[in-house]
Amino acid sequence: MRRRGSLVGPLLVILIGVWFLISSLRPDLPLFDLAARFWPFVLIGWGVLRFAEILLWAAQGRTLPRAGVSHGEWTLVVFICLMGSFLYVVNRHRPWQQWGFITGSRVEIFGHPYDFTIPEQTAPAPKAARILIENLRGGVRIVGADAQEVKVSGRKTIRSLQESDANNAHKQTSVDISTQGDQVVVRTNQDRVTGDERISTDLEMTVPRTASVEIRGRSGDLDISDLNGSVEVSSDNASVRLQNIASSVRLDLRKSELVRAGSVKGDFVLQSGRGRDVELDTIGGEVTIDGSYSGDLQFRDCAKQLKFQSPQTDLKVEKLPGQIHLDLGSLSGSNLVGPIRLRSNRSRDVQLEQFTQALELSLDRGDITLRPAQMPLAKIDARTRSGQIDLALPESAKFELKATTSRGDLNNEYGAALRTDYENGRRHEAGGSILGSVGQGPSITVTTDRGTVTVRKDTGGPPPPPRPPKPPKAPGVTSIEIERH
Amino acid sequence: MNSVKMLVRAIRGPILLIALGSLFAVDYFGPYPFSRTWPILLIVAGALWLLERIAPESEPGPGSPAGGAA
Repeated sequence: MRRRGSLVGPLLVILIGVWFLISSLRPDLPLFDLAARFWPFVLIGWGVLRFAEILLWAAQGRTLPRAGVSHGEWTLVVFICLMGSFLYVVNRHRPWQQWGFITGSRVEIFGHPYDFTIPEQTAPAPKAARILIENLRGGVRIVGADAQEVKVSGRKTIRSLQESDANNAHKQTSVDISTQGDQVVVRTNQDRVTGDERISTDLEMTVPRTASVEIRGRSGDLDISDLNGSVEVSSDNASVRLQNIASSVRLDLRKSELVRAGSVKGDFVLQSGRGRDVELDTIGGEVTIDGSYSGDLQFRDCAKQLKFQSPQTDLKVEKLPGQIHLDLGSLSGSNLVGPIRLRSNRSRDVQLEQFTQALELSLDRGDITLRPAQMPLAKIDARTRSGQIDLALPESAKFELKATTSRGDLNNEYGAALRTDYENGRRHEAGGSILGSVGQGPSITVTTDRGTVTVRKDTGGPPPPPRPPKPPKAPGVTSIEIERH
Repeated sequence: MNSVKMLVRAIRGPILLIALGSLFAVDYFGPYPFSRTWPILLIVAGALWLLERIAPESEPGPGSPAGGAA
Protein backbone atom coordinates (compact mmCIF):
# COMPACT_ATOMS: atom_id res chain seq x y z
CA MET A 1 0.00 0.00 0.00
CA ARG A 2 1.38 3.38 -0.94
CA ARG A 3 2.05 5.58 2.03
CA ARG A 4 0.58 9.04 2.01
CA GLY A 5 2.90 11.71 3.38
CA SER A 6 2.12 13.71 6.45
CA LEU A 7 -0.15 16.75 6.37
CA VAL A 8 1.89 18.59 8.95
CA GLY A 9 4.55 19.95 6.63
CA PRO A 10 2.07 21.71 4.31
CA LEU A 11 0.08 23.01 7.28
CA LEU A 12 3.22 24.47 8.83
CA VAL A 13 4.06 26.25 5.60
CA ILE A 14 0.49 27.62 5.39
CA LEU A 15 0.72 28.83 9.00
CA ILE A 16 3.97 30.66 8.37
CA GLY A 17 2.51 32.18 5.19
CA VAL A 18 -0.61 33.37 7.02
CA TRP A 19 1.52 34.87 9.76
CA PHE A 20 3.63 36.89 7.33
CA LEU A 21 0.53 37.92 5.38
CA ILE A 22 -1.24 39.19 8.49
CA SER A 23 1.87 40.98 9.70
CA SER A 24 2.12 42.85 6.40
CA LEU A 25 -1.61 43.64 6.19
CA ARG A 26 -2.05 44.63 9.82
CA PRO A 27 1.24 45.97 11.14
CA ASP A 28 -0.56 47.26 14.23
CA LEU A 29 -1.24 43.79 15.61
CA PRO A 30 1.39 42.54 18.07
CA LEU A 31 2.28 39.54 15.92
CA PHE A 32 5.91 39.53 16.89
CA ASP A 33 4.88 39.36 20.51
CA LEU A 34 2.41 36.56 19.75
CA ALA A 35 5.02 34.54 17.87
CA ALA A 36 7.58 35.01 20.63
CA ARG A 37 5.20 33.83 23.31
CA PHE A 38 3.10 31.18 21.63
CA TRP A 39 5.58 29.31 19.43
CA PRO A 40 5.68 26.27 21.79
CA PHE A 41 2.08 25.61 20.80
CA VAL A 42 3.22 25.12 17.20
CA LEU A 43 5.34 22.21 18.45
CA ILE A 44 2.44 20.85 20.51
CA GLY A 45 0.06 21.17 17.57
CA TRP A 46 2.56 19.51 15.25
CA GLY A 47 3.00 16.63 17.70
CA VAL A 48 -0.74 16.19 18.23
CA LEU A 49 -1.48 16.21 14.48
CA ARG A 50 1.27 13.71 13.72
CA PHE A 51 0.16 11.54 16.65
CA ALA A 52 -3.42 11.49 15.37
CA GLU A 53 -2.20 10.78 11.86
CA ILE A 54 -0.18 7.78 12.96
CA LEU A 55 -3.04 6.36 15.00
CA LEU A 56 -5.31 6.80 11.97
CA TRP A 57 -2.82 5.09 9.66
CA ALA A 58 -2.42 2.25 12.14
CA ALA A 59 -6.21 1.88 12.33
CA GLN A 60 -6.43 1.79 8.56
CA GLY A 61 -3.71 -0.80 8.50
CA ARG A 62 -1.33 1.28 6.42
CA THR A 63 2.39 0.87 6.63
CA LEU A 64 3.71 3.04 9.43
CA PRO A 65 6.82 5.16 8.97
CA ARG A 66 9.89 3.93 10.75
CA ALA A 67 10.01 7.09 12.80
CA GLY A 68 7.09 9.40 13.55
CA VAL A 69 9.31 12.45 13.22
CA SER A 70 12.17 12.13 10.77
CA HIS A 71 15.71 13.36 11.27
CA GLY A 72 15.13 16.31 9.01
CA GLU A 73 12.05 17.27 10.96
CA TRP A 74 13.94 17.06 14.27
CA THR A 75 16.48 19.47 12.82
CA LEU A 76 13.60 21.83 12.06
CA VAL A 77 12.30 21.38 15.63
CA VAL A 78 15.68 22.29 17.10
CA PHE A 79 15.79 25.31 14.80
CA ILE A 80 12.29 26.39 15.92
CA CYS A 81 13.26 25.99 19.59
CA LEU A 82 16.41 28.09 19.21
CA MET A 83 14.62 30.72 17.14
CA GLY A 84 11.65 30.80 19.51
CA SER A 85 13.77 31.10 22.65
CA PHE A 86 15.74 33.89 21.02
CA LEU A 87 12.55 35.73 20.05
CA TYR A 88 11.17 35.25 23.54
CA VAL A 89 14.21 36.71 25.27
CA VAL A 90 14.48 39.60 22.82
CA ASN A 91 10.75 40.30 23.07
CA ARG A 92 10.82 40.29 26.85
CA HIS A 93 13.69 42.67 27.33
CA ARG A 94 12.91 44.77 24.25
CA PRO A 95 16.41 46.19 23.92
CA TRP A 96 15.30 48.44 21.07
CA GLN A 97 13.31 50.51 23.55
CA GLN A 98 16.64 51.53 25.03
CA TRP A 99 18.37 51.94 21.70
CA GLY A 100 15.44 53.76 20.20
CA PHE A 101 17.10 54.38 16.89
CA ILE A 102 16.81 50.80 15.66
CA THR A 103 13.08 50.88 15.20
CA GLY A 104 12.88 54.61 15.75
CA SER A 105 12.01 56.71 12.80
CA ARG A 106 14.46 58.51 10.57
CA VAL A 107 14.07 61.45 12.92
CA GLU A 108 16.07 59.58 15.56
CA ILE A 109 18.97 59.08 13.20
CA PHE A 110 18.99 62.08 10.89
CA GLY A 111 16.95 64.62 12.84
CA HIS A 112 18.24 67.65 14.72
CA PRO A 113 17.04 68.97 18.05
CA TYR A 114 15.45 72.43 17.99
CA ASP A 115 14.92 74.27 21.25
CA PHE A 116 12.01 76.58 22.02
CA THR A 117 11.22 78.65 25.07
CA ILE A 118 7.77 78.39 26.59
CA PRO A 119 6.70 81.88 27.63
CA GLU A 120 5.54 82.29 31.17
CA GLN A 121 1.80 81.89 31.72
CA THR A 122 -0.20 82.35 34.88
CA ALA A 123 -3.71 81.37 35.89
CA PRO A 124 -5.50 82.09 39.14
CA ALA A 125 -5.97 79.01 41.30
CA PRO A 126 -8.22 78.47 44.31
CA LYS A 127 -6.61 77.66 47.62
CA ALA A 128 -7.47 73.95 47.62
CA ALA A 129 -6.82 73.51 43.91
CA ARG A 130 -6.29 70.17 42.29
CA ILE A 131 -3.67 70.60 39.65
CA LEU A 132 -3.51 68.02 36.90
CA ILE A 133 -0.50 67.99 34.60
CA GLU A 134 -0.54 65.97 31.42
CA ASN A 135 2.86 65.88 29.81
CA LEU A 136 3.69 62.85 27.72
CA ARG A 137 7.39 63.42 27.38
CA GLY A 138 9.56 65.71 29.43
CA GLY A 139 10.28 66.67 32.98
CA VAL A 140 8.17 68.64 35.42
CA ARG A 141 9.48 70.70 38.30
CA ILE A 142 6.96 72.02 40.80
CA VAL A 143 7.52 74.28 43.76
CA GLY A 144 4.80 75.26 46.20
CA ALA A 145 4.67 78.93 47.07
CA ASP A 146 2.50 81.33 49.06
CA ALA A 147 0.58 82.50 46.01
CA GLN A 148 -2.92 82.18 44.58
CA GLU A 149 -1.86 81.37 41.05
CA VAL A 150 -0.32 78.69 38.91
CA LYS A 151 2.71 79.87 37.01
CA VAL A 152 4.10 77.82 34.13
CA SER A 153 7.18 78.31 32.02
CA GLY A 154 9.81 76.06 30.55
CA ARG A 155 11.38 74.88 27.35
CA LYS A 156 10.62 72.49 24.60
CA THR A 157 12.95 70.36 22.53
CA ILE A 158 11.66 69.12 19.19
CA ARG A 159 13.65 66.66 17.18
CA SER A 160 12.82 66.77 13.49
CA LEU A 161 14.36 66.57 10.05
CA GLN A 162 13.76 70.22 9.12
CA GLU A 163 13.44 73.40 11.07
CA SER A 164 10.06 74.18 9.47
CA ASP A 165 8.67 70.87 10.77
CA ALA A 166 9.92 71.76 14.23
CA ASN A 167 8.32 75.23 14.02
CA ASN A 168 5.01 73.74 12.95
CA ALA A 169 5.12 71.18 15.72
CA HIS A 170 5.93 73.93 18.21
CA LYS A 171 2.88 75.94 17.12
CA GLN A 172 0.62 72.91 17.45
CA THR A 173 1.80 72.03 20.91
CA SER A 174 1.19 75.17 22.88
CA VAL A 175 1.00 74.69 26.62
CA ASP A 176 -2.57 75.25 27.85
CA ILE A 177 -3.83 76.04 31.32
CA SER A 178 -7.55 75.60 31.87
CA THR A 179 -9.50 76.04 35.09
CA GLN A 180 -12.72 74.25 35.96
CA GLY A 181 -13.89 74.90 39.46
CA ASP A 182 -11.24 73.57 41.80
CA GLN A 183 -9.34 71.85 39.07
CA VAL A 184 -6.54 73.40 37.08
CA VAL A 185 -5.38 71.38 34.10
CA VAL A 186 -2.03 71.95 32.43
CA ARG A 187 -1.60 70.24 29.09
CA THR A 188 1.43 70.16 26.82
CA ASN A 189 -0.63 68.78 23.91
CA GLN A 190 2.12 66.66 22.43
CA ASP A 191 -0.48 64.24 21.11
CA ARG A 192 -1.67 66.90 18.64
CA VAL A 193 1.38 66.34 16.46
CA THR A 194 0.80 63.46 14.11
CA GLY A 195 4.15 63.56 12.32
CA ASP A 196 7.21 61.74 13.54
CA GLU A 197 8.73 64.72 15.34
CA ARG A 198 9.78 63.87 18.85
CA ILE A 199 8.77 66.48 21.37
CA SER A 200 9.93 66.82 24.90
CA THR A 201 8.48 69.54 27.12
CA ASP A 202 10.19 70.51 30.34
CA LEU A 203 7.93 72.51 32.63
CA GLU A 204 8.84 74.77 35.50
CA MET A 205 5.84 75.45 37.69
CA THR A 206 4.97 77.37 40.79
CA VAL A 207 1.68 76.43 42.43
CA PRO A 208 -0.14 77.46 45.61
CA ARG A 209 1.37 75.61 48.53
CA THR A 210 -2.04 74.27 49.53
CA ALA A 211 -2.71 72.62 46.17
CA SER A 212 -2.60 68.93 45.45
CA VAL A 213 -0.86 67.75 42.32
CA GLU A 214 -1.41 64.91 39.90
CA ILE A 215 1.02 64.24 37.06
CA ARG A 216 0.47 61.86 34.17
CA GLY A 217 3.13 61.14 31.63
CA ARG A 218 5.13 58.61 29.76
CA SER A 219 8.69 59.65 30.43
CA GLY A 220 10.47 62.49 32.12
CA ASP A 221 11.88 63.27 35.52
CA LEU A 222 9.80 64.91 38.20
CA ASP A 223 10.86 67.17 41.00
CA ILE A 224 8.24 68.33 43.47
CA SER A 225 8.78 70.27 46.66
CA ASP A 226 7.08 72.32 49.38
CA LEU A 227 3.48 71.24 49.04
CA ASN A 228 0.79 70.81 51.68
CA GLY A 229 -1.49 68.84 49.36
CA SER A 230 -1.13 65.31 48.11
CA VAL A 231 1.02 64.19 45.20
CA GLU A 232 0.00 61.56 42.70
CA VAL A 233 2.17 60.44 39.79
CA SER A 234 1.67 57.87 37.09
CA SER A 235 4.35 57.47 34.46
CA ASP A 236 5.96 54.78 32.35
CA ASN A 237 9.46 55.94 33.02
CA ALA A 238 10.39 58.60 35.52
CA SER A 239 12.81 59.45 38.25
CA VAL A 240 10.99 61.24 41.03
CA ARG A 241 12.38 63.57 43.67
CA LEU A 242 10.10 64.79 46.45
CA GLN A 243 10.92 67.16 49.25
CA ASN A 244 8.79 68.54 52.02
CA ILE A 245 5.33 67.20 51.18
CA ALA A 246 2.82 67.61 54.00
CA SER A 247 0.32 65.08 52.69
CA SER A 248 0.25 61.66 51.11
CA VAL A 249 2.26 60.58 48.07
CA ARG A 250 1.35 57.95 45.55
CA LEU A 251 3.74 57.00 42.75
CA ASP A 252 2.85 54.53 40.05
CA LEU A 253 5.85 54.02 37.79
CA ARG A 254 6.53 51.27 35.33
CA LYS A 255 10.18 52.03 35.33
CA SER A 256 12.31 54.36 37.37
CA GLU A 257 15.98 55.00 37.92
CA LEU A 258 15.58 56.85 41.18
CA VAL A 259 12.85 57.67 43.65
CA ARG A 260 13.95 59.99 46.43
CA ALA A 261 11.63 61.39 49.07
CA GLY A 262 12.45 63.49 52.10
CA SER A 263 10.06 64.85 54.73
CA VAL A 264 6.76 63.40 53.63
CA LYS A 265 4.14 63.73 56.38
CA GLY A 266 1.46 61.45 54.94
CA ASP A 267 1.38 57.90 53.59
CA PHE A 268 3.88 56.99 50.91
CA VAL A 269 2.95 54.43 48.27
CA LEU A 270 5.35 53.43 45.52
CA GLN A 271 4.62 50.91 42.83
CA SER A 272 7.30 50.22 40.27
CA GLY A 273 7.47 47.61 37.59
CA ARG A 274 11.22 47.85 37.34
CA GLY A 275 12.97 50.32 39.57
CA ARG A 276 16.53 50.88 40.55
CA ASP A 277 17.30 53.11 43.54
CA VAL A 278 14.94 54.27 46.27
CA GLU A 279 15.81 56.66 49.09
CA LEU A 280 13.28 57.56 51.75
CA ASP A 281 14.03 59.83 54.66
CA THR A 282 11.64 61.05 57.38
CA ILE A 283 8.28 59.67 56.34
CA GLY A 284 5.39 60.38 58.72
CA GLY A 285 2.80 57.96 57.35
CA GLU A 286 2.75 54.33 56.33
CA VAL A 287 5.21 53.31 53.65
CA THR A 288 4.21 50.73 51.06
CA ILE A 289 6.66 49.77 48.34
CA ASP A 290 5.94 47.27 45.64
CA GLY A 291 7.95 46.15 42.64
CA SER A 292 11.31 44.79 41.70
CA TYR A 293 14.38 46.94 42.25
CA SER A 294 17.89 46.33 41.02
CA GLY A 295 19.74 49.08 42.84
CA ASP A 296 20.09 50.33 46.39
CA LEU A 297 17.16 51.00 48.66
CA GLN A 298 17.54 53.11 51.76
CA PHE A 299 14.84 53.79 54.28
CA ARG A 300 15.48 56.12 57.17
CA ASP A 301 13.25 57.37 59.94
CA CYS A 302 9.78 56.06 59.14
CA ALA A 303 7.28 56.82 61.90
CA LYS A 304 4.74 54.17 60.92
CA GLN A 305 4.60 50.75 59.35
CA LEU A 306 6.90 50.00 56.45
CA LYS A 307 6.02 47.32 53.95
CA PHE A 308 8.29 46.30 51.12
CA GLN A 309 7.30 43.66 48.66
CA SER A 310 9.21 42.45 45.63
CA PRO A 311 9.02 39.15 43.76
CA GLN A 312 11.96 37.96 45.85
CA THR A 313 11.59 39.70 49.16
CA ASP A 314 8.87 40.46 51.66
CA LEU A 315 9.66 42.85 54.49
CA LYS A 316 7.44 44.34 57.16
CA VAL A 317 8.63 46.58 59.96
CA GLU A 318 6.30 48.22 62.45
CA LYS A 319 8.35 51.38 62.84
CA LEU A 320 11.79 52.49 61.77
CA PRO A 321 13.54 55.06 63.94
CA GLY A 322 16.85 53.91 62.48
CA GLN A 323 17.57 52.80 58.95
CA ILE A 324 17.47 49.92 56.54
CA HIS A 325 19.70 49.44 53.55
CA LEU A 326 18.79 46.89 50.94
CA ASP A 327 20.38 45.82 47.70
CA LEU A 328 20.26 42.70 45.57
CA GLY A 329 22.60 40.72 47.77
CA SER A 330 22.17 42.07 51.27
CA LEU A 331 19.92 43.71 53.80
CA SER A 332 21.19 45.56 56.81
CA GLY A 333 19.19 47.43 59.38
CA SER A 334 19.69 49.09 62.70
CA ASN A 335 17.30 50.48 65.26
CA LEU A 336 14.10 48.81 64.11
CA VAL A 337 10.83 48.41 65.99
CA GLY A 338 9.04 45.13 65.45
CA PRO A 339 7.28 42.88 65.01
CA ILE A 340 9.58 42.44 62.02
CA ARG A 341 8.91 39.94 59.28
CA LEU A 342 11.37 39.26 56.50
CA ARG A 343 11.30 36.57 53.88
CA SER A 344 13.57 36.33 50.90
CA ASN A 345 13.89 33.65 48.28
CA ARG A 346 16.92 35.11 46.64
CA SER A 347 20.44 34.89 47.98
CA ARG A 348 20.76 37.64 50.55
CA ASP A 349 22.88 38.30 53.63
CA VAL A 350 20.94 39.85 56.49
CA GLN A 351 22.37 41.91 59.30
CA LEU A 352 20.04 43.37 61.92
CA GLU A 353 21.06 45.38 64.94
CA GLN A 354 19.15 46.93 67.79
CA PHE A 355 15.71 45.70 67.00
CA THR A 356 12.84 45.30 69.43
CA GLN A 357 9.80 43.06 69.47
CA ALA A 358 9.45 39.79 67.65
CA LEU A 359 11.49 38.86 64.59
CA GLU A 360 10.50 36.34 61.97
CA LEU A 361 13.20 35.84 59.39
CA SER A 362 13.36 33.26 56.66
CA LEU A 363 16.02 33.12 53.95
CA ASP A 364 16.61 30.73 51.13
CA ARG A 365 20.31 31.39 51.12
CA GLY A 366 22.51 33.88 52.89
CA ASP A 367 24.21 34.64 56.16
CA ILE A 368 22.31 35.99 59.16
CA THR A 369 23.85 38.33 61.72
CA LEU A 370 21.58 39.31 64.62
CA ARG A 371 22.34 41.70 67.42
CA PRO A 372 19.16 42.41 69.37
CA ALA A 373 20.84 44.86 71.69
CA GLN A 374 17.64 46.30 73.08
CA MET A 375 16.08 44.82 76.23
CA PRO A 376 13.95 42.95 77.02
CA LEU A 377 14.29 40.41 74.25
CA ALA A 378 11.30 39.16 72.29
CA LYS A 379 10.67 36.01 70.34
CA ILE A 380 13.10 35.44 67.49
CA ASP A 381 12.68 32.88 64.78
CA ALA A 382 15.36 33.01 62.10
CA ARG A 383 16.20 30.39 59.54
CA THR A 384 18.28 30.06 56.40
CA ARG A 385 18.69 27.06 54.17
CA SER A 386 22.30 27.76 53.50
CA GLY A 387 24.43 30.29 55.33
CA GLN A 388 26.17 31.17 58.56
CA ILE A 389 24.34 32.47 61.58
CA ASP A 390 25.93 34.86 64.05
CA LEU A 391 23.83 35.71 67.08
CA ALA A 392 25.02 38.16 69.73
CA LEU A 393 22.84 38.27 72.82
CA PRO A 394 23.00 41.02 75.48
CA GLU A 395 24.88 39.99 78.57
CA SER A 396 21.99 40.30 81.01
CA ALA A 397 19.18 39.14 78.74
CA LYS A 398 16.80 36.33 79.63
CA PHE A 399 15.99 33.86 76.91
CA GLU A 400 15.50 30.26 75.92
CA LEU A 401 17.79 29.44 73.01
CA LYS A 402 17.84 26.76 70.38
CA ALA A 403 20.45 27.32 67.67
CA THR A 404 20.66 24.48 65.19
CA THR A 405 22.69 23.57 62.16
CA SER A 406 22.02 20.40 60.20
CA ARG A 407 25.45 20.43 58.68
CA GLY A 408 28.15 22.68 60.03
CA ASP A 409 30.12 23.84 63.00
CA LEU A 410 28.84 25.19 66.32
CA ASN A 411 30.65 27.95 68.20
CA ASN A 412 29.45 28.69 71.68
CA GLU A 413 31.21 31.88 72.69
CA TYR A 414 28.44 32.81 75.11
CA GLY A 415 29.67 30.71 77.95
CA ALA A 416 28.78 27.86 80.21
CA ALA A 417 25.11 28.76 80.45
CA LEU A 418 24.60 27.12 77.05
CA ARG A 419 25.50 23.59 76.12
CA THR A 420 26.55 22.29 72.73
CA ASP A 421 25.07 19.03 71.46
CA TYR A 422 26.73 17.49 68.45
CA GLU A 423 24.78 14.89 66.63
CA ASN A 424 26.41 11.47 66.92
CA GLY A 425 28.97 13.04 69.17
CA ARG A 426 31.11 13.98 66.19
CA ARG A 427 32.37 17.41 65.48
CA HIS A 428 32.17 19.01 62.05
CA GLU A 429 29.79 18.22 59.26
CA ALA A 430 27.43 16.31 61.47
CA GLY A 431 25.56 19.32 62.79
CA GLY A 432 23.96 19.82 66.15
CA SER A 433 22.52 22.49 68.43
CA ILE A 434 23.48 25.06 70.98
CA LEU A 435 20.82 24.88 73.68
CA GLY A 436 20.05 26.46 76.99
CA SER A 437 18.07 29.05 78.83
CA VAL A 438 19.02 32.00 80.94
CA GLY A 439 16.23 32.97 83.32
CA GLN A 440 12.63 33.01 82.12
CA GLY A 441 12.73 34.56 78.67
CA PRO A 442 11.25 34.41 75.19
CA SER A 443 12.20 31.59 72.86
CA ILE A 444 14.96 32.31 70.38
CA THR A 445 15.22 29.82 67.55
CA VAL A 446 17.84 30.12 64.84
CA THR A 447 18.25 27.38 62.27
CA THR A 448 20.49 26.78 59.28
CA ASP A 449 20.48 23.69 57.12
CA ARG A 450 24.07 24.21 56.20
CA GLY A 451 26.55 26.56 57.80
CA THR A 452 28.30 27.55 60.98
CA VAL A 453 26.30 28.79 63.97
CA THR A 454 27.95 31.17 66.41
CA VAL A 455 26.34 32.43 69.61
CA ARG A 456 28.16 35.17 71.48
CA LYS A 457 27.70 37.72 74.22
CA ASP A 458 27.03 41.25 73.12
CA THR A 459 29.21 43.34 75.40
CA GLY A 460 28.09 46.58 73.87
CA GLY A 461 31.27 47.03 71.90
CA PRO A 462 31.46 47.71 68.22
CA PRO A 463 29.76 45.13 66.05
CA PRO A 464 31.88 42.31 64.67
CA PRO A 465 33.72 43.32 61.55
CA PRO A 466 31.62 42.73 58.46
CA ARG A 467 32.58 39.80 56.33
CA PRO A 468 34.47 40.56 53.16
CA PRO A 469 31.96 41.17 50.42
CA LYS A 470 31.05 38.16 48.38
CA PRO A 471 31.63 38.17 44.65
CA PRO A 472 28.60 39.62 42.89
CA LYS A 473 25.89 37.09 42.36
CA ALA A 474 24.46 36.15 39.03
CA PRO A 475 21.83 38.70 38.09
CA GLY A 476 18.23 37.57 38.09
CA VAL A 477 16.34 37.34 34.84
CA THR A 478 14.14 40.26 35.73
CA SER A 479 16.92 42.72 36.33
CA ILE A 480 19.31 43.19 33.52
CA GLU A 481 20.88 46.47 34.52
CA ILE A 482 22.96 45.62 37.53
CA GLU A 483 26.11 47.63 37.87
CA ARG A 484 27.33 47.77 41.40
CA HIS A 485 30.42 47.13 43.51
CA MET B 1 2.20 -5.87 8.72
CA ASN B 2 2.07 -3.35 11.51
CA SER B 3 3.24 -4.54 14.85
CA VAL B 4 2.73 -2.83 18.19
CA LYS B 5 6.45 -2.27 18.19
CA MET B 6 6.27 -0.30 14.97
CA LEU B 7 3.34 1.73 16.28
CA VAL B 8 5.24 2.60 19.43
CA ARG B 9 8.27 3.52 17.38
CA ALA B 10 6.19 5.72 15.10
CA ILE B 11 4.45 7.65 17.87
CA ARG B 12 7.67 8.20 19.80
CA GLY B 13 8.56 11.30 17.80
CA PRO B 14 5.18 13.02 18.05
CA ILE B 15 4.91 12.36 21.79
CA LEU B 16 8.37 13.77 22.41
CA LEU B 17 7.41 16.75 20.29
CA ILE B 18 4.27 17.35 22.35
CA ALA B 19 6.27 17.02 25.57
CA LEU B 20 8.90 19.46 24.31
CA GLY B 21 6.29 22.03 23.30
CA SER B 22 4.45 21.61 26.60
CA LEU B 23 7.59 22.19 28.65
CA PHE B 24 8.31 25.42 26.78
CA ALA B 25 4.69 26.49 27.22
CA VAL B 26 4.91 25.77 30.96
CA ASP B 27 8.13 27.77 31.06
CA TYR B 28 6.41 30.82 29.53
CA PHE B 29 2.97 30.59 31.08
CA GLY B 30 3.35 28.28 34.07
CA PRO B 31 5.38 28.26 37.25
CA TYR B 32 8.24 25.94 36.25
CA PRO B 33 11.20 27.04 34.11
CA PHE B 34 12.50 24.74 31.38
CA SER B 35 15.78 24.45 33.28
CA ARG B 36 13.91 22.54 35.97
CA THR B 37 11.53 20.48 33.86
CA TRP B 38 13.81 19.17 31.08
CA PRO B 39 14.40 15.79 32.79
CA ILE B 40 10.78 14.97 31.96
CA LEU B 41 11.91 14.68 28.34
CA LEU B 42 14.46 12.02 29.32
CA ILE B 43 11.82 10.16 31.31
CA VAL B 44 9.33 10.26 28.43
CA ALA B 45 11.98 9.14 25.93
CA GLY B 46 13.09 6.35 28.27
CA ALA B 47 9.51 5.22 28.87
CA LEU B 48 8.79 5.07 25.13
CA TRP B 49 12.01 3.17 24.52
CA LEU B 50 11.06 0.74 27.31
CA LEU B 51 7.59 0.34 25.79
CA GLU B 52 9.18 -0.45 22.44
CA ARG B 53 11.40 -3.11 24.05
CA ILE B 54 8.59 -4.90 25.83
CA ALA B 55 6.05 -4.61 23.00
CA PRO B 56 5.33 -7.91 21.19
CA GLU B 57 7.14 -8.25 17.87
CA SER B 58 4.46 -9.38 15.45
CA GLU B 59 1.06 -9.41 17.08
CA PRO B 60 -1.46 -6.88 15.89
CA GLY B 61 -1.88 -3.94 18.22
CA PRO B 62 -4.90 -3.84 20.47
CA GLY B 63 -5.35 -0.18 19.61
CA SER B 64 -5.73 -0.90 15.88
CA PRO B 65 -8.97 -2.63 14.98
CA ALA B 66 -7.86 -3.49 11.47
CA GLY B 67 -4.59 -4.68 12.95
CA GLY B 68 -3.37 -7.77 11.16
CA ALA B 69 -5.55 -7.37 8.08
CA ALA B 70 -3.06 -5.31 6.13
